Amino acid sequence: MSQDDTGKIHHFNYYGRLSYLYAIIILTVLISIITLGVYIFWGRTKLRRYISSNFTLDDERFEYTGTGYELFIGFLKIFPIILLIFIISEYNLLYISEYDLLNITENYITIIYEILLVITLYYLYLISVYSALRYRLSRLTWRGIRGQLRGSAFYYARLVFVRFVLNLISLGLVIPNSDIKIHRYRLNNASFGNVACSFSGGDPRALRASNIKTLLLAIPTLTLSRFWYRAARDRYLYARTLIGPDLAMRTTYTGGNLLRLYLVNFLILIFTLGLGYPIALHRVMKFYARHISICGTGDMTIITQSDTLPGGAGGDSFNSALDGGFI
Amino acid sequence: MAAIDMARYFDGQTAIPHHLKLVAQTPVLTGIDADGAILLRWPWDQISILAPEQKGLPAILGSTTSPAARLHLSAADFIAIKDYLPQPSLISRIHDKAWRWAAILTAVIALIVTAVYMAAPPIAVIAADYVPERWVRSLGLELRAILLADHDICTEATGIAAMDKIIASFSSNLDPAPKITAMIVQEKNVNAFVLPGGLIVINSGLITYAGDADEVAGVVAHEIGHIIERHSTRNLIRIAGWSLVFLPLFRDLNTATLTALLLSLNYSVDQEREADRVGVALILGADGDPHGLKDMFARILADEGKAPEFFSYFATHPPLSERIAAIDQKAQPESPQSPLSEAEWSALRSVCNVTKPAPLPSAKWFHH
Repeated sequence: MSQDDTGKIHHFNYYGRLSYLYAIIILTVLISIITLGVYIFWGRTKLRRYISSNFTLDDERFEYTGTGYELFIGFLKIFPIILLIFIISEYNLLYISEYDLLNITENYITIIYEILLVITLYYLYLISVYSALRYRLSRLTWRGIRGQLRGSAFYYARLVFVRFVLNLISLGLVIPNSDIKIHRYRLNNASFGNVACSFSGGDPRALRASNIKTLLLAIPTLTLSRFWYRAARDRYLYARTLIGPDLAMRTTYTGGNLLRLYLVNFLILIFTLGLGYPIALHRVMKFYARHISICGTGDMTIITQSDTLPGGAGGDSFNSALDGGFI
Repeated sequence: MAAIDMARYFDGQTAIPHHLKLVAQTPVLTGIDADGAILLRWPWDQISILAPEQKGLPAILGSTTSPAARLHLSAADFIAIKDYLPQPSLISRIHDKAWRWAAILTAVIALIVTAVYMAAPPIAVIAADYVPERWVRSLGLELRAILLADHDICTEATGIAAMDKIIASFSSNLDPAPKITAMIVQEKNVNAFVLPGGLIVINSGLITYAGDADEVAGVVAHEIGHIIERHSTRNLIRIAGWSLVFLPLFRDLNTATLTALLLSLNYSVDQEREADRVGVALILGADGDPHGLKDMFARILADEGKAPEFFSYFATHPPLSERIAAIDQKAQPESPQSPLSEAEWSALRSVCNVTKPAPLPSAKWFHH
């Protein structure tokens, strides 16, 4: 299905209010201080519920069904791993004197240790990204039908890591290949109710020219050229993202639109010392609601609920702990 | 009883909307379709508001009776049945009046922080006396080794003996006499500082800069003042406590500790005044001349000038002019005695003729 077979266009809209975002975030911060951080899980849930319920598709509201309690229990389950990561990254285990079996004095051993530590942390982060996506999709419903993401977080992490290394080795030339492979894995495992998503693209040549232009202009533009590649990439990927056999996604933003969005957000965060975070969040939501749509001849009412039960929130809490994000 | 003619219902199994007539009465909400079939029968105490109505978007209700099912109500319809619905959760009620609760919580937190800020000094003073001395000294030794890792220490024997004589002239008058260890570092900056456990580090640059032994003795007495008042231990306890208080706010230990350090700057100035006062008392107790310390301050003031008053909060020491005036107000001994003979003073100034690398930290398992 191509972007030209539009059929009906299903629009997203975002109705959230900036004052409510500020109220939720400020209250979450204050109550989290009083509760020594425990409330953050409920505050994060409140924020996700507010944002989700103010997103509509064909004027039907989305809904986030996750709970703060799930996030809290998920955090408790993965807390030993977080603690272990903290200990390993803060303390050089090679130098515990009474166990100094290797009599470490050479710097290269330390360098290898540091590299392995960074790789391990990055790998764990990628696992948490996929796990978090799986949790959030399973808690997102539209007309009562929830989303789903199957697949393996470990495979995803391996895939992204290998593609990252290949991107580096190729000096960025295989970035389109990597983006397509990663997007395909995510899409082919995603579904909404009984309607599976799929990715019909695969030829990186469509993005090659844009990628090469981005790489050549990276230094003169201080890497701002990547926004144009990103817009072209998203246009390509979304147009080949199918929801069922007859619905496809569509994006309309350009590189300039993306640059304006992220540059202004960056300036807002800088000049408000981070207090403008809700403004940046609000702008991002409005932007994507305006520029993304679903089109096609498919009938959304034929979607039925999936039989698979949603999983736990450990991965989501792990991801939040690693990247420190508010959402 | 209330009746709603047209509500949209999703059964949670398909995305097909069902248009129901709702009948609201105690104890259940009933939904009937066009054919008269009852598709919905929810007890009120099991219903929750999953998304409130706003800006023309319908309210969404759910029930534990059918966890996946959803009922969409317009604003007017929602108001018609609102009185039947159970009280929202405490969190929801707080968020409904978010700005009022934000103001209340801000005031509460400000009070707590103020209380902690006010309580920290007396608590730190009390707690400092209960920390075992060997723990404090171990920490001080490790800190000293870490700080001096790339430096050489001065070890010329007669110079070290001269320094030990200065220290003994002050500590021998104390009961109990604290265990004080001084280390002279080959470093041209004019500085001296104290670490937990009675450890004094003196830069060779300070000895070179000083005009006579009285000036060096004045600085040493000032540092011993810090040791006697256990300022290092108190600071560690206070900063650790404040870091824990700020940790939930910043969710980052480094930022929390930095904030705690900034807050402690004002206490640092008070501690310097206290060390000056105790140091002058030590000098007078040893029949020494406190003018030595004053002369050192005056020399530094002449060489470096004064910082603008605007920056005074961020200074860790009181203004030099204030410190000089405070010493001037003290009674001067009639015939003060120099702590060192000319030969000993000369030996002290030559203490860095012999050097060796500073001892390494024993616990190498600190990553940073």
